[in-house]
Amino acid sequence: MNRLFLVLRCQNVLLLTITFVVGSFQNQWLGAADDLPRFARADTDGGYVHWIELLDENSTKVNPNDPNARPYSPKKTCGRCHDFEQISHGWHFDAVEQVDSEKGRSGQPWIWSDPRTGTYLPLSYRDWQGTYNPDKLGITRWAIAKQFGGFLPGGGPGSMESLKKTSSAETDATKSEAKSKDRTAITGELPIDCMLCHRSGGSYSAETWTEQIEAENFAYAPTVAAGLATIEGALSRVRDSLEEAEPEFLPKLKYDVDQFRPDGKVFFNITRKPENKSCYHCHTHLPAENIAFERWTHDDDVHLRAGMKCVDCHRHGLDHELVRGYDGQSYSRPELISTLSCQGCHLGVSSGVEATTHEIDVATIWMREGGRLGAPKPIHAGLPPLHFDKLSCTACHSGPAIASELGRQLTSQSHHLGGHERRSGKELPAVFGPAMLPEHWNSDLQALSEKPKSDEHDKSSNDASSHRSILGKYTPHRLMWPSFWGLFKDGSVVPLDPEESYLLTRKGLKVKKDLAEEIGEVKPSLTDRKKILGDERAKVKEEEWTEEERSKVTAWVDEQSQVQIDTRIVDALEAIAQAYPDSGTPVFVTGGQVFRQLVGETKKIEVIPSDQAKEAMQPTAWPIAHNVRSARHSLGVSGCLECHQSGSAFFTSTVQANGVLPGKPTVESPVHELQQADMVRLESWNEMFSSRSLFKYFAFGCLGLSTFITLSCLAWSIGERITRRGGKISG
Amino acid sequence: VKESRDAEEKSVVDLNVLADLGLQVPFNSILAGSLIVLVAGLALHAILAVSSSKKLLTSHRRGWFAKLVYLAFALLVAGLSLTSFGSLLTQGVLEHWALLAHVGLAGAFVFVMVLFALVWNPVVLSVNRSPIVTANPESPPAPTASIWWLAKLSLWGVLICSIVTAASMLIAMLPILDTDGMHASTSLHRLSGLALLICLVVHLYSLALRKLGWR
Repeated sequence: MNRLFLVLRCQNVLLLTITFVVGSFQNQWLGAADDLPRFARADTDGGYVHWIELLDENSTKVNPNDPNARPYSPKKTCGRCHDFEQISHGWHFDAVEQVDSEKGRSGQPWIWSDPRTGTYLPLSYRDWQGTYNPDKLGITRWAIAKQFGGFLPGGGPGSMESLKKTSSAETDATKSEAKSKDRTAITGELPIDCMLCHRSGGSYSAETWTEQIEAENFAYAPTVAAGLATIEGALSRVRDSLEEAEPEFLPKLKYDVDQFRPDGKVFFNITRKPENKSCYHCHTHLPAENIAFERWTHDDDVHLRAGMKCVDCHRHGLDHELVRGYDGQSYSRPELISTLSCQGCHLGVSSGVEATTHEIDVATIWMREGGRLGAPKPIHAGLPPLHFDKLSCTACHSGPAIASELGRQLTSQSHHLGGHERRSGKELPAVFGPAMLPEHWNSDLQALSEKPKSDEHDKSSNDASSHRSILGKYTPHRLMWPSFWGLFKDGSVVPLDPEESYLLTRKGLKVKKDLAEEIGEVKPSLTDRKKILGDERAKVKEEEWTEEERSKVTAWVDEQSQVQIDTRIVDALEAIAQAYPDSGTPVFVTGGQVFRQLVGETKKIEVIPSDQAKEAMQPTAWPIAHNVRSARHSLGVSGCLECHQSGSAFFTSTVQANGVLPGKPTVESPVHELQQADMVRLESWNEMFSSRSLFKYFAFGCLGLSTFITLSCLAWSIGERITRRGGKISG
Repeated sequence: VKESRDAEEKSVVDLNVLADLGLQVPFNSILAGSLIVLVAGLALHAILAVSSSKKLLTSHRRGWFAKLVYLAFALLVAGLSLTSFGSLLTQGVLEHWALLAHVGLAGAFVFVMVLFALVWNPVVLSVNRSPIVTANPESPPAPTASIWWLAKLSLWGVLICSIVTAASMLIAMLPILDTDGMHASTSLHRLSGLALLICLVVHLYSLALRKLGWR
């Protein structure tokens, strides 16, 4: 019995031991399984060759021979192996919801351009300085996706989660019945197209993507842009609903069967690190002179010429949380990006100029010392360190050289670069640059000094060493004066939804395509010419006019042009007043001026005095960082006097706002006014610098003399002391 | 503004020459501490001097030119200190009009510095009998050993610190130093400027004691 009990007991112990051991291994294995990423990865620098099946939005494999084949869905196709959910909240997709990314430093706003109404309205959901939030203006997310989706990689305002959310607008602008369109039911969401950035080779056409978005073929755009199929039809031609749509208007895809392998797979030429040309589709910016003159004479960014890619600095992980590259960017793991700014990379974050705005908790030297990818450490010989507190790196090293008059600039997003058009460089919106403005150039100094620091970016800007001035460092900016219809009330102007503006003003403006070109267009009729030139000369051809006759006609045209502009603008303003009887004074903002109907005069407009509408008269500006110039082409390379002399372009360059109303006044701003610079102090500095070279000779002469006298006497004194002591000893 | 000052103080730590020596002390703390110690030390010494009631040993009255040079030099140092240390203590930073004034005064300083070295050098003081240096040229010259050690030491300090202060900034006007060098130079300029101020105050104090007959 005892033996049986002992055997049983041994069995129990053995079983327990086995259970424990197996359990331990099981836990270990399970634990290891939990640590594995959700998706498999190749993890090779050699890249992964993508022969993949195309899936449509229903996860059905695309059959290229099916005449009713649906477009492929990047979300379903790429999402099989990549974490689409995580990717879709990166910087480029997060402009509306801002789940993972903060607004950060101002960037280029989306500029809603409608030449018919002369509207050029800077918009941003990130509430950047000088921009308007589309939600607050009653502009639907779909309208934004349609307007700007051609220069977005998809998602963002056009994502389904964004489109489902109703506009939060509760402003006067939404009280009108006319609202911007929402055709989500017809177009569906704006899909994220991975290939827009991750394409390699030449088969993908970003311009086609833009065209398809403009045609409202949202879902079809990735397929057509990738060259997998051709398309006929456009959803923009479908009026009300897909069910009622005439079949010939519905888009029809015809896949290129030759691109499909027998197993139905397609080769996607993909690169993990996007090529520069992918970035350039949306981020090209050119001085207008590059259009007007010889583009080949201008240099590229030095980093690119050295063989670098945009993404070498503007990196991100799978979450697509992009490194924007400016010092002080808020980031989930700041230590990872501390050396991915100009300063961080070239100077490091622990020496030299005060560099970091983040705590460094990474122990590796290369993370702190910079010099990544062989970045040279600048010498800045003889440059007083004070400049590093006043100027961003880009102030001296980036953008076109500053000139006495700011030049016009063209950007992809604002001027639809990439499309085959004839350009003069003077296309609207009129974007100017570079202007050297402090980071908080448009801020109230008093308010800034009292403002509590709300985010990392603000905190960094208060670092006294890197931002000694409360306005922040001087940085090259591009700027534009908005142009829009709106309601003036209590010193500020609330813009109207641009689509609504068109509906309200089109009858009054009588413009077909371009307000700037048409509104002042006057041609004297025969009756008019008789009045101007007399009956005899009225029928004479223009080429045969005398100089006096020509000037008479020109004067008459100018006068009538102004009358016509006033009349049409007033008609449009009255239409707005009817739609918004109690919401403020209808106004048209352009060229930094706010125009309203002249009180007492029926068909005349006047400018609202600047002190009453100061806010609406300000330009919108955003900092720029490229193209980076070489050290020998940087600002100040020839000496202090490049900036520190009377009339230096840094402070005194001027910009004349561009309005869309011919002959009407526009604002002219010297840059120092936008800088809020103390010109009396600057001129005093300039006076000092005018004789700086002479002073150096004088000062070094004095120093040498003082040193000689002092050291000689000191030596004599020591010698005398030694002699006296020696005398005492010998005595 | 307070945050700004705090940040400024922290930033100085990594940039001054003291940091290279392993002394992680913000300059503003050094400045405030030095001034406090200086005032306290002089006050204590004055109390001791008055209580001991020592008689005047010698009386070397200076000539009008020497007085003028000293006055100009002292005023310039005072102005330079106010614009620099005053700004650092109140604003946390030296910039704008204060910097402009500082640079303007510095130009005059380098010139007066030569005159000061010529006239107020302890050696010159003891051997030069010209009326511009001494008011009583007929009196026998006083050997340097007879000048109170505190006055002599502080005077040497003033002269040497003046040279270092001026040189550290003038060399930064040439395209020689790199950014790190410029920072070190600025840091040296601050420290030597502070030392100059201290030496001058001590020398003034020694003159005052002699004038009052307490030394």
